[in-house]
Amino acid sequence: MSGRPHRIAAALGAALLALWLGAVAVALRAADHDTGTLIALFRPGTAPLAAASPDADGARGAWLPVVRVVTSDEPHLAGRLRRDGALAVFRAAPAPARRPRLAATSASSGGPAARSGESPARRAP
Amino acid sequence: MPPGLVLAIVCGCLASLITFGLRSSFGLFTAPLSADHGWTRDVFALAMAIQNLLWGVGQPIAGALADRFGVARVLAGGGALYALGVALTPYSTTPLALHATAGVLVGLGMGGASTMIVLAAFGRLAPPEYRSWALGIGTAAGSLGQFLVVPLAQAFISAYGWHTALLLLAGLVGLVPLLAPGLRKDAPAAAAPAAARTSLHEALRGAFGHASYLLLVAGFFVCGFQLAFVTVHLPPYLTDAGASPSLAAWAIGTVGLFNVAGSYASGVLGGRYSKRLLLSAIYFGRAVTTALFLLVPITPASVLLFAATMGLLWLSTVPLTSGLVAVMFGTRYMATLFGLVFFSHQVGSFVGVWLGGTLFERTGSYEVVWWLSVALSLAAALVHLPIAERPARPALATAP
Repeated sequence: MSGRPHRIAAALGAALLALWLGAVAVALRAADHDTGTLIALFRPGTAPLAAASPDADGARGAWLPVVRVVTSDEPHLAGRLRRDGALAVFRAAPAPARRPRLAATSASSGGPAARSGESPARRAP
Repeated sequence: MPPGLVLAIVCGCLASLITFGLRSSFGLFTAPLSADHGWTRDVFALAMAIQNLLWGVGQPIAGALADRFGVARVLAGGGALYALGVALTPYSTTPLALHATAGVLVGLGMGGASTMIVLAAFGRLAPPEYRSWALGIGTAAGSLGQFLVVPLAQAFISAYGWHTALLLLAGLVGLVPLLAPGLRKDAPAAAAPAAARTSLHEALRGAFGHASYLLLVAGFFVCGFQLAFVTVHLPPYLTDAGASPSLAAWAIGTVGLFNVAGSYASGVLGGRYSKRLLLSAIYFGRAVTTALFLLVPITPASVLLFAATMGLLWLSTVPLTSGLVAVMFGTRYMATLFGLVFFSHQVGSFVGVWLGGTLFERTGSYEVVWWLSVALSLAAALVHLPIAERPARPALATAP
């Protein structure tokens, strides 16, 4: 088998990822009146200025230096971040609840950790 | 590469990504849907149970239809049913209506619009030298769907609410019937030379009288057992041991990501090396990985390493198992015969989830099922060794 099939696979994967990023960006795009925890994308070099905003309860960097995670109850926070130079502002999607019902039931019926019978070595540090 | 195969691969992979991905997203709707209707969660859970049952039972039936009428028609019909079921779910205001839409319609739709059906078309359309690769990329696309569609569904719920999110996802599944014509070159009857045509009944009788097929069915049961057990019970196992819920979420995400690479790689390797030996190695690898995971302390590093390794070994069994069905019996009845193997996988899934919960309630620990999983892995590794990786008999294995 030549390298062509692998190139097709890579191109298909890249196209799908690009489509997915676009769909997620549209779904999570913050309206100007949104507040709470927002993710702001800045031009390189302008992010520290926005992070110093006096109204933000917390602003921290992300893996990329041009991305800031801003938390505040300030009304119209997303609009203000855009005025401060943010290229795009997104709402932080809540993490999906992955704990199944079964475990929740077990936990409420006596504490599985206490009943698990596992040695302390198996416990997370 | 034959003309039309690339289009079929692209359309089939997209369909596989959408349908397999959405299937993994239903859990996100349990809480908001139940809360809005004032239902206890067992109402939604029963709808999901009906869905999975009908999917498993419907898979070989959809396979038989695909083997008779071609994958494109079955994929289009299944996709339409699937989309209709998802679209009607927000309007299901009684438990019975929810069971009919999210349960029956979606379950039947899943059987017709599944990755297994797409793989049958790939098996028939791809020439032998590309077949294993095609089965690998089809499986990888489904795995990628699991990784991409779940966060997309979560973003939709967060942005528009669960009601609109379901309608948007129904629109996404509605693309499947539009993608199906890309696979219209799949012509099951053409996969068998006239001199060697057999009826479905003869093919089924031949398959169930063939020891290697039965060994394959038994091995795939173990695959379903492990996947379902780990997916459902790993997060509570980790949090019970004191790990943070976010580590559990990362572990499941890591499994999904590495699964894409593992599925694709196994497809490529299956085209070069013995499929039965690769399958045996995968199950042996699962046994070793699980045993090591149980023997070392739970730390973020050990959990993520376990998740990455299991991810590589996750659905990597699918291209090899479906490839072996094609080797043994040809591609004429591939959808039906692989559908029956997949039914065994679903039975294993049910047993894995059920046994995990039941034994946890009785013993207060998952340890017994974890070690049972190790033992089953070793058994599956042995079960694949005697499989005869050659045509069952000329009359059955008719495809090149």
